[in-house]
Amino acid sequence: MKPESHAWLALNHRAASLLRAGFADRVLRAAREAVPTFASQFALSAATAAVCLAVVCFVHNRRVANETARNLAAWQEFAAEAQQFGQFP
Amino acid sequence: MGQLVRRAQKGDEAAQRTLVVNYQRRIAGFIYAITGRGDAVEDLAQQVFIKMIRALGRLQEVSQFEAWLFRLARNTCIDHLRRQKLRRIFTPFAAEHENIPEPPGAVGSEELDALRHALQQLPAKDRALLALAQEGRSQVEMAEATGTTVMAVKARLHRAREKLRQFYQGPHET
Repeated sequence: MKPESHAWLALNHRAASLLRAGFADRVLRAAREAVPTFASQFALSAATAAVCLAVVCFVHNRRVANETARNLAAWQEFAAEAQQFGQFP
Repeated sequence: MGQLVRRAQKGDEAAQRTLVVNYQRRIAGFIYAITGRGDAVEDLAQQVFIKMIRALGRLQEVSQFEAWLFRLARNTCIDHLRRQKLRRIFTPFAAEHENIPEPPGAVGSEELDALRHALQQLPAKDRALLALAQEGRSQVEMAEATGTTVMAVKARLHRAREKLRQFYQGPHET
């Protein structure tokens, strides 16, 4: 018998004592719990991506609309001033 | 055993429970030998058996159940150690927290302390190989479990045993 053989037995004994009572029941209960399928995980990822894309599009459109409104106002002002200058003889 | 595994494969909960009860001590010892951490044993053993129950249906050869189960346990332990290593990169104090040694004597006999100390000096894959050998797995099964050749397993196991003997100092030797 190798000198460490007793130690291996002690190691197995110690490890077994680390499992709390009712270990097998806990394992079976955990194994029965629903596992997320690939399809459900994919659907969740797709939904998250769609929401992010919608938010990005919304923010972008708002910025473009604000910018256009500002530009139009500036041009209107400019056109009014040009008209005023044109009225002078 | 074959009958029990077949029943468990069909979803018989009593058979699954018997398998867990029959193997829980050996799997716990196997995990302890590889990880060296008492606080990881129950959690990893639970992971191994959950994987076993969920994947049992895919096991083709019932006679290979035991080798398959220990392969599953080995891979779970190696993955756990790999994740731990990765976590240490991102969490500065994780290593200190995870490596708080169990005080000598707290784990059991001096022999056990000496063996744990010796095992911790070896790489995880060598510890896994020694634990597989200790569980009576053949070199062919070990080669399958580790994804190498029988010759490579033979050489690595020989080296691991030599190193273990070098590091192991039982109470009678001190």
